[in-house]
Amino acid sequence: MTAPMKCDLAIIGGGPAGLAAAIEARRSGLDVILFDERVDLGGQIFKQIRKERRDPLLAQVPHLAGVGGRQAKEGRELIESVRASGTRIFCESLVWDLEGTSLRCIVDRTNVEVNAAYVLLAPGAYDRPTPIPGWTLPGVFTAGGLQTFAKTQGVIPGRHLVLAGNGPLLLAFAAELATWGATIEAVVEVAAPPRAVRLARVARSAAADMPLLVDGLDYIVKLRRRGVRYQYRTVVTSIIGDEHVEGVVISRVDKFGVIISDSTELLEADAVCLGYGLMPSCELAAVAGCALRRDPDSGADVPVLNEYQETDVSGILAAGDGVGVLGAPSAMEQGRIAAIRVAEKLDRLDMNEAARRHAVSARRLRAHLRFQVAVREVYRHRVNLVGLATDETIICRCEDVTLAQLRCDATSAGDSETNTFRSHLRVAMGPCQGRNCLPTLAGLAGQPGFEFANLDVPMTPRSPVRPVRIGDLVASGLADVGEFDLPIDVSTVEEICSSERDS
Amino acid sequence: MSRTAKSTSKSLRLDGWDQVTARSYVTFSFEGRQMRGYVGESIAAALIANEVTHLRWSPRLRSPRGAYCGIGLCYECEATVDGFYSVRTCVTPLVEGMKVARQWLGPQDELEGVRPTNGAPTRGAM
Repeated sequence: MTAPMKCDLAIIGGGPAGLAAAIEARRSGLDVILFDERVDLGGQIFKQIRKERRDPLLAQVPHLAGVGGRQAKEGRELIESVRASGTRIFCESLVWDLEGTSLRCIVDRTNVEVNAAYVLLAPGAYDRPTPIPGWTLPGVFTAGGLQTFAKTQGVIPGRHLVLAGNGPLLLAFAAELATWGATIEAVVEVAAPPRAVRLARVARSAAADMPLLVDGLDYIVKLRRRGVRYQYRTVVTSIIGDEHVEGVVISRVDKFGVIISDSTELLEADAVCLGYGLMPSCELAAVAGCALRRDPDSGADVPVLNEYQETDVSGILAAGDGVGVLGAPSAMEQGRIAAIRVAEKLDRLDMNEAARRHAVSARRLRAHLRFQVAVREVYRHRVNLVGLATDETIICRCEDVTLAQLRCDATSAGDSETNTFRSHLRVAMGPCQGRNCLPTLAGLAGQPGFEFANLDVPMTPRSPVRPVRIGDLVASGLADVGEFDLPIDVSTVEEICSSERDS
Repeated sequence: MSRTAKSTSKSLRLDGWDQVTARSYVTFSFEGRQMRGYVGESIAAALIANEVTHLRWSPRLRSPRGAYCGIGLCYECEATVDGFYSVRTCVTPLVEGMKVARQWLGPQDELEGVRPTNGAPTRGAM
């Protein structure tokens, strides 16, 4: 086994928060290691077309020059400054365990241990799962998924798209896709058409976020010009198909969020995108034992933070959409605030200078927050999305657990909680580690049949937080082949999940 | 697949992507069918461009699954690649000569008479 690496600050996640933190930390001369799971830095919002493709792209194909738009350009500059800053960067790395400020990570199929003085968690967010009948059919994508295929791979996975969801990201994405030549049958937004008073509030609070507001108006113009059907107060109630999406059923909802039964309409579609908001990724904070609180906006259990982005576990800080979804500009300020704090604690930054820099970032963060809150008000809705699932709807995609099975367990056990669902039904024990079912499970609290289930307690966290290969651990001397009954060929891709250790 | 019959008129690639990738083609196969993709793109993207979206059967209900999150989180796009099971095709780059196969509905299922279901309403049910 190789000796542990050491550093002042280990940053997990190379999105806006992690990148901004790396630059700020390097300004104070800290020794920084940055881990990211993807091939390139940038995270989801700043994700880039692979470099070898980008340059010919911009030169030769004018109508694609806007792929990624302003944010991709902003991201590119940020990524380049991080590359030039002397940060040690490990892309395609998988941090799977965190204990205090020591982390374990798979880099290049080898386990690496890192003993950092401080750890900054900047894992970002992922699309909220929305279980509706047919959502497991091939051809159904998350907003982020469809966007990734279009933006980084040049593939639009359908000829007749229906986009459904909530919030400004849906609008942005629809406009991008329309610009690139996709045929969008409909964009259905669950919220009501924005009221003038709320729009005015957005405009008033946009001082720090003018570019975002301008983008938003641009999106609306683009969709209008192309005659894309954009319908408010509408949800997708089911997706139809045999082996692939063939159609989508949409329904209008009234002002109380109740589905209007005779408003049902069937649309022909071969790809559907579900983008009902984002969920913070909090699994590393949970496994490290940080105190958590339930975020009212997303329903996720996010780490409790002080004004310096510190968790209650000494040495662990967190920033960005992984602690509450506020968007890239806020994430970057949070990343800076965290890095400033670490530099101050390590005596690499004078106390007064630290306070000055902190104040600048904190002020900007407050401004971004005002804008985010105003935007969120515009898109607020009263639809019980969990209520769209029927008895046969699969809630846990990995283990094929349906709503009926969950309800049956809840009513027969009487005192169910998240952990008992796991042990009875294997919910959240598959390879996605609960990312696609835990948010739904939390949302089921109080639903018919779940009145007596205690769903407020988060599931007990376990490492590894992502599936890792047994072979990689064995090769690194972390697991002994003798521990397993069966002969294991370490060159195969057998995966070990925390869940398997539990059972 | 019903899908191919319906619509093969327009490519699923962005217009101009050929130029972007400098026409760096590779050939690979899915369930024995020869296909063409671009070097280094994700296997899932290449398959989608070739009208293939159904990549595996789920373990219990045997419902059809394909790429969903596109960023390596959900493990829905797992398929068998060059004999290795459960490869996440959305984050694994395509390489010349790759053999990709749909996963998990095996001979045992046929023996036991397992019929795939998908929990989704079909058009007839509407």
